[in-house]
Parts: sequence; C-alpha cells; structure tokens
Amino acid sequence: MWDGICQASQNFANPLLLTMLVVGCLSGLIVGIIPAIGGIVGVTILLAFIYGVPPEIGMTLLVAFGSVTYTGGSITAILLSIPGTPINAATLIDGFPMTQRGEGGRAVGAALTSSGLGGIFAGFLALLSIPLVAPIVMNVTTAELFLLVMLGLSFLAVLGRGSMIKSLMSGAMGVLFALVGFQATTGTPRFTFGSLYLYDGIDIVPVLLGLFALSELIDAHLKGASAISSVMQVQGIGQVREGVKDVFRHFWLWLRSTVIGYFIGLIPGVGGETAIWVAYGMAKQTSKNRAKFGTGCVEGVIAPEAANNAKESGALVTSVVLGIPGAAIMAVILAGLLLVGITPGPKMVTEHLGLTLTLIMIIIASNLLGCVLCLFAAPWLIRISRIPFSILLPLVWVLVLTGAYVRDESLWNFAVLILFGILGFLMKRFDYSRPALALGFVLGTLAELYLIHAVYLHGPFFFLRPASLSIVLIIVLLPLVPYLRRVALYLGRLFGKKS
Amino acid sequence: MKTKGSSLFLLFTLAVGVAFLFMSLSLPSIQDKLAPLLFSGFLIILAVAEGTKTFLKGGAERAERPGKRGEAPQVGLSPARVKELAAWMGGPILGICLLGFNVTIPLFILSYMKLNKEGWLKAVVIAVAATAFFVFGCEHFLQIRLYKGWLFELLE
Repeated sequence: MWDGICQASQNFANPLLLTMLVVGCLSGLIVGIIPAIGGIVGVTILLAFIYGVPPEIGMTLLVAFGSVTYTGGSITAILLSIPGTPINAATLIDGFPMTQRGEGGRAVGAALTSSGLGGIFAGFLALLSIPLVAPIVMNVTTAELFLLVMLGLSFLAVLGRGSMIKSLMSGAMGVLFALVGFQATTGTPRFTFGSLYLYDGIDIVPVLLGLFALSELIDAHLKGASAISSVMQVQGIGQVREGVKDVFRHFWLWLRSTVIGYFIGLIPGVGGETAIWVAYGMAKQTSKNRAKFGTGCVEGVIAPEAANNAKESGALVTSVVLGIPGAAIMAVILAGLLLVGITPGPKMVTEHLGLTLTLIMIIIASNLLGCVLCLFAAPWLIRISRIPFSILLPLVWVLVLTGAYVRDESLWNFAVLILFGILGFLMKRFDYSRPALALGFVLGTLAELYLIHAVYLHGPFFFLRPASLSIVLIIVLLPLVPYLRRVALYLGRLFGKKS
Repeated sequence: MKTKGSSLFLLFTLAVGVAFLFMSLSLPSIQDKLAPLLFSGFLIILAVAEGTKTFLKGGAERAERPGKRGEAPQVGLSPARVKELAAWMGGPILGICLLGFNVTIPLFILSYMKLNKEGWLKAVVIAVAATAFFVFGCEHFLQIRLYKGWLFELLE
C-alpha cells in the first residue's frame, strides 16, 4: 500500500500531469455547461488524444474531465432550467424555482460547494475502501440490482409535488416510453410502428430537453415575453456566499447524500441517475421543510449535487478494480485504460495500485479545482439569468435544438423534442410530475433487464433472498416515513403531556 | 375549460396505458411482454383511481386547481399566442431542415431580436457570436457535423 501511495505522490509531482488535470477540468466544466453534449461525448472525443501517452497522463485527462462535468451541468439546470447533463435533472426541481425567486446565486453557490465537496469526500472514501469493496460488489446479484432500480423508482411517489397517484402515473408512463425499441434480451422490436428511428428506442436527450427546457420556454412565452426576466433578479456574489454557507448549515444532509452517492456509484450498472434521485428523495423524506421541496428549497439542490460527484468515485473503484463499469462514462474510461495498455481488474489493486491511487487523487484534485474555478466564475455565470427574454429565448432555443441534434445527428430528434415539450407543458399545467416521468424513462430499460434476469436466475420469489428482502423493506417503508413521523410526533406529544 | 383540459389529459394517460397493454398482448414471448404488461396495467389502475378520486370528491374544480404549491402556470391559451409560439418554435426547425444550422441560427436570432425591438447592432453581434460559437464548438471542437440543410444537399 505504501509503495502505491509513494508512486501516486511521485506521479502527482509531474508538471505534465498537473497540466492535463487543469485542461481536463476546464474542458469538463465547459462541456458540462453546454446542455445535452454531456460527459460521455466529451470523454469519447478525448480518447482520441491519449493513444500512446503514458497511462497516468492520459488517464488524468479523462478522469479529470469526467469528474467535473456534472459540476458544470448544474449551472444551466439552475439558471435556465436546462440540465447540462441528464444527471443534473434533479437539481433543477428546486434550483430553477430559486432562480425565478431571485436566489439563483445562492442555488449556484450551494450546488457548486455541495458538488465539489461531495466529490472530494467520496475520493477519500474511495482511498479508504479499496481493499474492502471487491468482495462486497462481487456478491451483488441481478435480484438486488433490480430491487435497487425499483428503490429508485419508488422515490417517484416521494418526488411528486402534488398527488402521489399522479406522480406514480407519470413514472409508469416514463417506464413505458423507455420500453420502445428493441427488447434487450430477445431483440424483438416493440411499439416501433415500423419506424427505423424508434428501433433503438427514444433518445434520452431530446426527451429531457423537451420535458424541462422546451416546456419552460412554452410556458414563458405564453405568460408573456418578459415573464422570466422580470422575476429573475440575482443579487450576485453575496448570494453565492450564502449558498456556500447553506451547505455547512445542512452538513448532515450533505454528508448523507455524499455517502449515498458513493455507495450507489459502487454498484455496477445501476447508474448515476439512481444515486441522485435516491439522495433527493431521502432529503425530501427526512426534511422538516418537506412541503417546500419543489418550490425552491436549497436542500433539494444540496442533496442531488452532493450525490452526483460522489458517485463518480464509487463508480471508478468498481470499474478499475472489477473491470465492470459502474456508470456509462466509466465504460469509456475503461476503454481509455485499455488504450494506454492497462487491463482493468483485480490487478489494479496489486500491480497497478499506484495508478489506481493516482486516479482517485485526480478525482479529489479535479473536484477541488472545478469547485474553486466555478465559485470564482459564479458572479459572471449567474448573469446569464439577467439577460432579457428577447435575447435569452432565441439563444436557449438554438442551444436546445443543437443539443437535441448532436446526440446522434438525427432530425427526428426534433419531433421527439416537440412531442415531449408539449407533454411536459401539459404535465406542468395539470400538476403531473415531470421529474417522475424522466426518472421512469431513465430507469425503465434497466428495471426490465434486471427483472428478467432475476426471475430466470432466482425464480419468481427472487425478492425473498436476505439481501433483496432488506431492499424490499426499504421500498415499502419509504413512502410511510412521513406517516411514521406523524405517529412519532403524536406519541411524543402524548407522553410529553402525561409526564 | 380547464376542467375539460385536465380530464382530457387524464384520458390521454389512460389511453397510453390501454394502447401499451393491447400492443403488449401481441408480443411473441413472455420476456417481451412482462414489463410492458406490468407497467401499463399499473398505469391503467392509477388512471382509473385518479379519475374516481376526482369524481368522488366532486373535484372538477379541485382537480383543475393547479397544485397546492403552484407548479402549473396561471395562464390561458389564447389562439393568437399559440399560433405565435408555433411559428417561433416550428420556424427554426423547418429552417434547419431546409437551410441547415449555419444559416438558420443567425437568421432566427436576428429576426427574433429585431421583432422584439432590440437594436440592430446588438442583434447582429449576438447572432454572429452565437453562430460562431455553435459552428466552431460543434464542428471543430467536438467534431460533430451540423446538418447542412436539404436545399444545400440538393445543390451539392
């Protein structure tokens, strides 16, 4: 272990590695801010530049880039209601209403601090847990994976701002839309109506852009041209500082969300989306301000942001130690490892321990750098929300159209964008939960895949395995938490009066 | 009017559930139909429950009130505004399909800003800057080829 630490420290003293760290961080932040392009596209492009480069240098570029993409993505989610990456979708639920209320700076400050510190803390967790994770992760079967996805889906009921039934309906619709296209295990085309475009399923980027960005543009336009700009009044650096303080005011929430993000990141194939929604749902269920969630509550910004960067450390550990990508972006990073001549797997904690520790230290350093850079640039970044609507609308609309197109360079994405934009607007108008639909859409395919595997491997009663049963218990108890709290409060008052 | 809209949307969700349910029944294997049947059935039950709840609570008005915490906008849909919106949203898409991104981006930004009474200088500078950003960012930095437009492809 000491040899590894010494080698990692030696690597870190290399000026070229530090240069790559800065380049990776800056480009990751910029790509994160641009909606829909996302970390995977960026990392894939960077792959082309690391061939033949020493492993620690090439991997620094990729890991630094991937670590801070979500930090940048939170800025547009909060200020423009456009999630820079799909992972930032949870942030806008409370972040954007804060901007509309004139507290965009505070939300940005809270998001950046929570995100950066979450990534740093999870990096240290990864350093400590490397010797422990391999046996744990190897024991997770598809039954538990399915139930973990269902745990994410069970938060649909928690996420809805109004009626629980409407939230569940939105989630079920999201899952159904996710099932369009080839079935993953049999290859049967479903619900495609013979359209070649639909054979690969409905693309997630135009769906999210439609649900969140286009629906807001439609709403703003129908309210009147100056509707957004008239309510957005960001106070500047003072607000950003207030946001930073908010993270320390809600220290336990931040810590809990970071730990949730890290551990969900460790589980291969569950995806970062689960981590952020579980963190958000947990924050809502345990908060005293539960009713304020969704209307611009800073806790709703802190929780998903802490989880989104924290899960990258967990995903990296699983990816390099077991060779199983813990998140989509990690699959590309694994390809990067192979390109520089390193085979991921258990040897990463024996032969290449120095490199593994270097990568984790890069995550810590890039989160620190990304957080500091963004906090310093925040006063300029939050000016985006002061731009008049007559300038903002065409720019955002062009950004949305470009974002929808570049994902797979298909013009049909515009049709999906418009359809989901109208659906999102109507859902907003009639008080259905758009985040619930997005979550169902994101997790739908995974849920189906794991369900089929679990039934085939463990039979129809797969959920009775001890590990699975504990997750089932959490799923069942989660929606009951508010009621249990009321009972506890009632009993507390009752016994208080008696004594 | 709003009550009608809400009920229609509820019917739409019910129709989505029913459509998926019937389409699932014709799928060949249990692996193909297990999840769609499960979730469409769930959606139908929930839609019926929501409809019943609204009906029983005499909730035409209650159902229409846009959420306790006010997510829904408090605006009506005037036909003129909807037409204007459709033009602004559909125009650029049609433009991209016909003329490509490189021509549509500056044209759209310029025309939108001018019609909203922004100055010429500001409109031109922003249109040019935005075009340069998108074209350079996508085509040179990200190596993504933006669509050239049907008309230009025809000329080539």
